[in-house]
Amino acid sequence: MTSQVFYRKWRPQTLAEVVGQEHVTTTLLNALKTGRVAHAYLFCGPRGTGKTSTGRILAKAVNCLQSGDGEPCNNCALCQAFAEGRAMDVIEVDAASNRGIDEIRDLRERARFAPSMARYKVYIIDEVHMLTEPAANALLKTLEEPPPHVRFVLATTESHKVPATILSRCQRFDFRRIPQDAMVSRLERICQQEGIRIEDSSLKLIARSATGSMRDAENLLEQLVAYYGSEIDLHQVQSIFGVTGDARAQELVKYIINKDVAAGLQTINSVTQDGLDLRQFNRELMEHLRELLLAKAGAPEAVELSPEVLAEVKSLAKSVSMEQISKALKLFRQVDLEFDGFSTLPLELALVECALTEGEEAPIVSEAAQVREKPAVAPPPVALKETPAAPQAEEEAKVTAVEATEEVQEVTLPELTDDIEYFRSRWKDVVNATKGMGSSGNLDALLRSACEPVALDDDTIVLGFYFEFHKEKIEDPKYRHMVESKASEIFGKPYKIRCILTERGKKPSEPEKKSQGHLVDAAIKMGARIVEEGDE
Amino acid sequence: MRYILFGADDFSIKEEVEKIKAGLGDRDSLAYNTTVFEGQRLGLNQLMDACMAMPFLGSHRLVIAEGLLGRFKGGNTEWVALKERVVDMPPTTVLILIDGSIKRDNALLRKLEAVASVKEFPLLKGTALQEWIQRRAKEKGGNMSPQAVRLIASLVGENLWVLASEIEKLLLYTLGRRIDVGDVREVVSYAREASVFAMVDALIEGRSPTAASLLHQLLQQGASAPYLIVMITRQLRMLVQAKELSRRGASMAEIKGRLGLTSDYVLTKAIEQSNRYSMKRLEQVYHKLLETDLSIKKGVWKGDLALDLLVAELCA
Repeated sequence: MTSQVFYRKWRPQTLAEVVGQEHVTTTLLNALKTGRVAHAYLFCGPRGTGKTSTGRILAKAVNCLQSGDGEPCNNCALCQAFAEGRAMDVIEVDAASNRGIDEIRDLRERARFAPSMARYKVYIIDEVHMLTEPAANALLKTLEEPPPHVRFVLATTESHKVPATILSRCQRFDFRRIPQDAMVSRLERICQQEGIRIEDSSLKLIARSATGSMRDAENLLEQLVAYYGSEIDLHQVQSIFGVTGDARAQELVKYIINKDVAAGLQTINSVTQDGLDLRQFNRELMEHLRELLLAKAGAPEAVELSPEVLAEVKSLAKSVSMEQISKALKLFRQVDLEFDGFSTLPLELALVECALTEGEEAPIVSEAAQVREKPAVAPPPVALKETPAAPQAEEEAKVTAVEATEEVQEVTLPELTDDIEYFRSRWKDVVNATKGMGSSGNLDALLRSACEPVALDDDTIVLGFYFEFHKEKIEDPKYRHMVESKASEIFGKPYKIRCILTERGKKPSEPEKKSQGHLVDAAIKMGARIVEEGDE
Repeated sequence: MRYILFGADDFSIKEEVEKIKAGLGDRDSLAYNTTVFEGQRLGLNQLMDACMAMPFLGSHRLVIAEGLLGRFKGGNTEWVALKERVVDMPPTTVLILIDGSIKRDNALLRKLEAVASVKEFPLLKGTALQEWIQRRAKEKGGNMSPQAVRLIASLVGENLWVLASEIEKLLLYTLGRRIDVGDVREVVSYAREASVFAMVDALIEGRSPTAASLLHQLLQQGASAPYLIVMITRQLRMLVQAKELSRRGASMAEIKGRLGLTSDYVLTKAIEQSNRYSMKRLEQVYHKLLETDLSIKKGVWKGDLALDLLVAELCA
């Protein structure tokens, strides 16, 4: 017994059965009814949206012996021959493997002969964008003036690769991604005919995973049937798609928005305790964040939610800013569970970082400093919250609790950056980092000999130059940006550069500092502050 | 009879040829008696042999030479005799010389002007184009609202091949009903480009609801994320170029030529938008686009989500 896969078995046989393409089927049906069928059609659109199927239906319809209303009857000898694939007058050409000029010349030669049984010879040329340029030109002449007994249907997924000359000689139809509702009702019909018992929510999940392609949806359904038989429940669908279906992902979004770290951490822990796949949980969380993003942007209809969920998402969107959502999305995207799918740390880190605002960063650093004394103290994520740059967060997500304490020592460094002495001590790193930059690759030499940091004004490093010529050169935005970016990289936060003229070794607008002794100087360099000065 | 048909509008030339053919009696017998030459390699004797032959089982003999005038150089002695020889053609022969854009002072054209019916077919523009659309719809038994005519003219441009095909589609879609703007948007393939323009407009202006809904409409219509990125980038590039060319005092025609545009809609939109935004804002959008493109190509984000974020961040 031979069996056919669903997408072939349930391929639409009439234009009415083609789902989600009403603008195409209505036009074609009217053309067939009124006998105004064009000699060449071009069907463009994503995969699985019905291009080839519509081409085949068209081939049947123009040749059908009993057609009254434009649709093929599917009963006459010709329709049967087409359906069984033995009609000689429908020629399907795969342009991806027959892309040369010789194949197209051959096609042109054959097209001259009258059809053997049918009224029209119909050439269905799939993936027409794959034709070589000479082949496309050779086809163009035939498309322009085809023999009266020939109809062409060209199909492509990439219309922009089809030469403009071919585009202009065909009647072009753009197939759209099939909406979820249309897909669900088509799947329902297939399930009825096949005797499959499946819930509506499962079909919705299938339709959602198929991203607008009917063929993908039918294949997914078939896989489910092959695996679970004809009775399928939602859990089975969820497990095959790797969906947890857990409401806690939605819950966590709420906690992220409300900056409720405690409740969020609890949710993440309960998810782990229940043994859910954290990678999948994270994917779902991102999906919910995206829904929120779209609701905030004003296009919630794009994700096709049920009215209740939509109302909830909309109300949640009101209490959050676009920046907050995109920050959360980025942080959770960077969560790397690839090598350790059971550690909740990366998720917790992302959650805590989401809850942080700019102003909150400073006090948390001091907490971090406390953690340094007690490496085993939990929760380690808090210690890492200070990191301002996203890529650093990604690196941090990978570290274990022990490694985290090592990081803590590093994150305390920016505290020192308020001190010009610290800048001066690390200035050579900035200079070395610019090696090879500049028009002749010697920016580092210029920086080394022509200037030195003389003061720090908030986030601006004041560079003292000994000569006007050098100062002007570094003031050029091109060079200034180079220095600024390297300084920001080395000091871990964005800095600007201001250039002034100075005498070598002198620091203007800054009182001369007297040395406190080499031990005190070293302590200050390491971050110590003078609290009280005793009499000597 | 002798006809010379030339001009950039090859669609109208084809229609004119069809009209001439229709006046030459039975189509099937005319098919036997039709000879078409490629003008580039045609010799005078070869052409005249075909012209002097009597029709076989038909009333007329049709000889068509394409691209002959364009190749003609003043000093080509062989063709000097053409004028005298075509006059001696039997009355049953109809000779049609077809050419693209050639100059009015083309030597062969000036020689033959006196003995042939000459028609020029330049590309239609502006009101003439709109009139052509309205006329075409009426000839085919339809009726278009003036707004729909304007919209389709601006969307498709001056390519009459595409226009004719889109009008036919619209007539079939509406089947007797008056065609309005909504039908054009629903059926005309080139409407997608207009949506990209509207989306970019909304993006640069920071109108997130419009940008986000247009983005999802385009995705739903089958546009892929990389395609949209390319289209947005292309438009931004056009805006920057148009802005720079306008600043240097270039004319509309010059800008159109330099940007390699065929559609007037795209040109006017590009100029309009470029005047509206500062170079700084365009630069900012450019950087964001690069970031989005890289993030898709590096697999950081999926296409749709990356575009959602692009909209969110530019409109924030």
